[in-house]
Amino acid sequence: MLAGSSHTSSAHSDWLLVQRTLAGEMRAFELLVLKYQRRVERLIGRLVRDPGLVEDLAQETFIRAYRALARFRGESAFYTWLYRIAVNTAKRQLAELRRDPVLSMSSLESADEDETSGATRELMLQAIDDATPEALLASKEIAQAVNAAMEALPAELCQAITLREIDGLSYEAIARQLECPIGTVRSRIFRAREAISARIKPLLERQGGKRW
Amino acid sequence: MNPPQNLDAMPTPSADGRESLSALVDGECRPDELAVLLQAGPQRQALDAAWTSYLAVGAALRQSAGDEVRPPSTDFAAAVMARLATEALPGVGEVAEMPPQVRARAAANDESWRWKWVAGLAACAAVAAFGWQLLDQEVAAGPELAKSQPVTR
Repeated sequence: MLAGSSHTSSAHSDWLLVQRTLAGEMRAFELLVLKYQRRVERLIGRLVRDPGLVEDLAQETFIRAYRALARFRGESAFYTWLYRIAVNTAKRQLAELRRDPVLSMSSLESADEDETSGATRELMLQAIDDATPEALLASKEIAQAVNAAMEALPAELCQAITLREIDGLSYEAIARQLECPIGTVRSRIFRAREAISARIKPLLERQGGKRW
Repeated sequence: MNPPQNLDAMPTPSADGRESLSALVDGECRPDELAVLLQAGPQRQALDAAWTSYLAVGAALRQSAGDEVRPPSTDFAAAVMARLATEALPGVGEVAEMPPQVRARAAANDESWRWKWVAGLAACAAVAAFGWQLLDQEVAAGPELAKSQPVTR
């Protein structure tokens, strides 16, 4: 379960940030907002199909999540929990506005049950299909830049980042596999990310702040 | 394929928190590091950029449906945080319940449980001592009562 390992470490990172937020450090919540903003916007965009509402509802989702944060018990991934809040926020808004949702209520209800359900996965894939040509081009450009940067990486760094991001291994498992200390693994992954980030920085700056 | 770059020319581990941030992406950041990271003032903008960039790199490498390659808008996050800054929020400052696997481990070492055990044992000991004292008095009073009983024929 390679991807699962990656999700587990992401869940642990989110759990740490939730705990720091509950301890009163707002900055931790800001990192969660930065991490999940686009996914929440994309989900809501699929549910309400009104670009004017998407950003407001995405903001509302994070506000509601923050207010309810003490009730997040870490039994599901943070995004799964956030996903349900986003769906409920969209449903409530649609009910208030008495609009006819583009999706049937049954689709919304099944989306509300579990983000991993088939119906929801279908929603997410449709959302990707619905991305604007500009968005698709941006994703393609970033992916190409990342691939080019990977090819230019020294073998040690390339191995480390591949084992982490694609195979989803922990630092400890990577250290065993590469027969080096965990600190070296951590340093190599960081250096790989920095090198790739330098390549995609202009693209990200161009894309930052634009609507999807 | 391009020739590999010289390791020495690669970015060196930074003291400004980016390496900790990279570890946080992987869920491998130590609590003390995280505390420092969250307090970073002057580097905040650079750390935001690094955070979104590291996440975008992972998403691009995995190319999975749920991941977002496009960077988030910092204006959006600023708007959310500005709204949160103006209201009192329930729950903040409270200790959240831990996930079951963490909770089970923590319960074994929980200080309050130890005190509850001590209090329970002390209560049991007090009840036992009181009972013993009563019993003792009854035994002692028994012959006296027998003595004072008038003989009736």
